[in-house]
Order: sequence, then C-alpha cells, then structure tokens
Amino acid sequence: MRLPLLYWRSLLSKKIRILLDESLGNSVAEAIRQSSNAISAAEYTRHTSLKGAKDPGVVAYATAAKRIVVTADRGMNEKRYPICKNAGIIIIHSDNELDHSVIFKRFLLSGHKADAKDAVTYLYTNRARIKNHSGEKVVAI
Amino acid sequence: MTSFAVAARLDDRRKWWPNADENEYYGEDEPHLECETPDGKDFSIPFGAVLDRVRARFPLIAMDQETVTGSPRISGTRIPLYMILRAIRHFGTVEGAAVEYDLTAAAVKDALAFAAAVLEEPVEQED
Repeated sequence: MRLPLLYWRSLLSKKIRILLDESLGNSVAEAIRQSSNAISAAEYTRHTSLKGAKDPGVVAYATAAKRIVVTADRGMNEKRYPICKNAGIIIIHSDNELDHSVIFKRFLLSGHKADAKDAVTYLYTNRARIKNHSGEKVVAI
Repeated sequence: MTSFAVAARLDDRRKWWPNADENEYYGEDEPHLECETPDGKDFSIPFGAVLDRVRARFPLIAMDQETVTGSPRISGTRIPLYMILRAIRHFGTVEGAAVEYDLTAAAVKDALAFAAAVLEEPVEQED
C-alpha cells in the first residue's frame, strides 16, 4: 500500500526541540545544524551554563524547556529518569565516533523522530529502540 | 615457580592421587598458592579503587556519580574519556579529537595517559 504524500510530509515535518549533550562532539552538532528542517530548536550544553553540569541538572533543564536530551551516555536511561517524567532522552550508541552523526541523521529522516518525545530512545547503527508509556518498539532507521 | 604453575601441578596431583595429603606436596622452595601472585601484582583491588587511585595522578580528569553517570571525564566538562578515545581512533590524531570536543591537546593526551594507567593497574580477578 502506498502512503499518501501528505502522510510522509506530516511525519517529516514534525520538528523536535533538542538539547545536545556535551558528551557528543562537534560532528553531531554540525549534523543537527544541517537538519534545521527536522529540528525546530537545538541547544548545545557546551555553549550554555550547563557546561560540566551534573546529569540531574541537565535533565531538569531539558524538562523545563521541553527539549529532548540527546546524549552518548547510556547511564541517562529510563531506570534513572523514568519515562514521561521528562521531555525525552535519545541515547546514541555506537563504538565509532563518526557514526553518531550519521545515526542521528538517519533517525531524523526515519519518520519516527516525533516518537522520541516523552520516551527513552536508543539509537543503533540501523535501528532505534523506543521506550514510551505504552511499551517498547524497535524500528529500522 | 609462579602460583599458576603450582596450581597446574596440584590439579594433576589431585587427579592421579585423590586421597593424597596436599600439604605433603609443598617442599622448602615451593610457595603456597595463596601467598603469591604472578609478577608480584595485587589482584584483589576492585576496579573502582583502581580508577580512584589513578585519577589522583591526573588533575585534568574528574569522576563523580552525578556527572556522566560516574564515567571518568575531562574536569569542568561532561566529556567522558571513552568518547575522546573513540574520537582519536576515528580522526587518527590527538589534534583531531581536540577539535571535535573543543579541548586542548594536553587534555586529550591526559585522557590517553589515564586510560593507559588504568589498563596497567592490576584489578580484581573473577573466579
């Protein structure tokens, strides 16, 4: 079944607000800058007062600003920061530095980025695992 | 003779003479298993203690449970050392990693030295 163009457009046009953690490098920040059509507002902790901040402070700031935290730190997960008690956390998991920007770009173009709101999302090379209040799903990216 | 060699000989002895008195095995020049570890290293140190001990030698490295979930990081930042090591692998140079994370070359070199120092330390062995 072919999905109508409007469906795809609505999926791709849902912009998300993110807070990029300092644990990710400039290559990811650059990838986000190039994806301004997918992200309405991005903030980089390295360029704010959150530089060197503690994890709870970063999540609290993101929650207040309704931004999804994008990080490489696997410890910032749903066990420490329960789902729906923050605006969302995206954890990029890769052993390769370059992959972080590639993986994140893939996710932005996958049509699932809106699902990351109020959820904890794990991004791997070719798939995303999204955990939200209704359960868990794995999608290809 | 290392304790590993002694253990191997003791295993053989237990296999062929299961009822033998093990204490008879040790001669004057053969150390007891619990008294020696290879190369004189202490293998009873937990990994957390190793990190703490090494960190004391590197003022640019910080560690606390509330920041990057306790991973060793560059002091005053949220940049974990494991990400710097990956950046070095990817870019192939200290300078490449420094540019990627807006760090000084000295900080990146400290990250490398810290990793090397941790790997050099003996840690607790699991049975």
